[in-house]
Amino acid sequence: MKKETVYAILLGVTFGVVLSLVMIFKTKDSQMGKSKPLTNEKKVVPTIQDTNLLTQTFKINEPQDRQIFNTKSISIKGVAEKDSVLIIQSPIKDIVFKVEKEDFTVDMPLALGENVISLTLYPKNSQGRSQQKELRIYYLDEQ
Amino acid sequence: MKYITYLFVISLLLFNLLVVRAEVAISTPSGTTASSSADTKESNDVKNIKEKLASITRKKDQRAMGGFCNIKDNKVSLVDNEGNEYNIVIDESLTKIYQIAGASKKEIKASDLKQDMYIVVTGPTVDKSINANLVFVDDAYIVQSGKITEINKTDFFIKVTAQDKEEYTLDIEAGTKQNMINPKTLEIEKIGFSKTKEGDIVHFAAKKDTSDKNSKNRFTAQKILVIPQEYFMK
Repeated sequence: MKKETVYAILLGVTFGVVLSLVMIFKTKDSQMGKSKPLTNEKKVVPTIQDTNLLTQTFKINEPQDRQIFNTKSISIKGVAEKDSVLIIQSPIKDIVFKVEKEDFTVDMPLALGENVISLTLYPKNSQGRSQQKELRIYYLDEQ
Repeated sequence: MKYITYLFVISLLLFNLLVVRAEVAISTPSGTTASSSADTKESNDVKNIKEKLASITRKKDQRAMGGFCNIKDNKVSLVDNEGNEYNIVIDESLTKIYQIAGASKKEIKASDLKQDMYIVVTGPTVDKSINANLVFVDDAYIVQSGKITEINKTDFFIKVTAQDKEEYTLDIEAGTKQNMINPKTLEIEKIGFSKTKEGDIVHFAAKKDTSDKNSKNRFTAQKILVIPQEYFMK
């Protein structure tokens, strides 16, 4: 192959790559611009609120409601406001403790069958509103 | 020179054709011109979706449903706490049914299931029908908390308004475990009925059934845990 032929092919390929990239990016940009949101939800505009009126964090990460276990006890893991008091009550056990860190882990015994576990969080500010969550956990031993 | 120009144009066209074709094949997975790499990507996507669906189904199957038993024309259904009714499909050869008694259980027959028994069912749920793998006959409980609004020291009951504004009447009997939280140490201490005051917060657990008494939100408390007003006055 002649030297000139090789140069021509290489130049053609390089130019082709550049042109293709430009075409691809342009097509993607125009598609992004045309895309419509799936929901009719309006954009959420964050607003500043009085922090005293906000509900304090209280979340149960584990276990999930209606989850089945084949062990006699479970660990309840969650997040709550520091220094708040958490009361966990089931028909077989009452636990009261102060949340030392924001994350908490509590071992809870289970009775065979359905276990209704109520979790109530009393905030550090005793005038604050308490929050309650309920879990139904099943200890079903098949053997 | 002419020869070089032709070669340049041809190689440019060929390369453009190849790149644009590949891009189209990726952006339209259902297209008939999809290349083999796009096919592989598509099959991987389908595989991922199938795996996700299977895992969701598996997780779904690991949940249980509890509710009161309703038997009509030999068909068993379950009414959950929200009042939703689920048809329970029992296969005599596959479904295992147990009666829970304390910490042990005893296998029973489907014919032993009676109206208003509290049952816990596991198995795949399709719409409002559960193909039961396991059925456990258990006791139903209510675990709630609220403010004490009335104390009757003659008939030994307390009235409680819960957070959801629901009103409960709790009978305090000899077998009711009564405890109070020490507002300073948060220790749980045993108390007598006289220690409980109006305005205190009470956490309680009680057995629930379908009797008239229970339907009027009146329960015999199995245990109560009182938080005295002093705790909130800190």
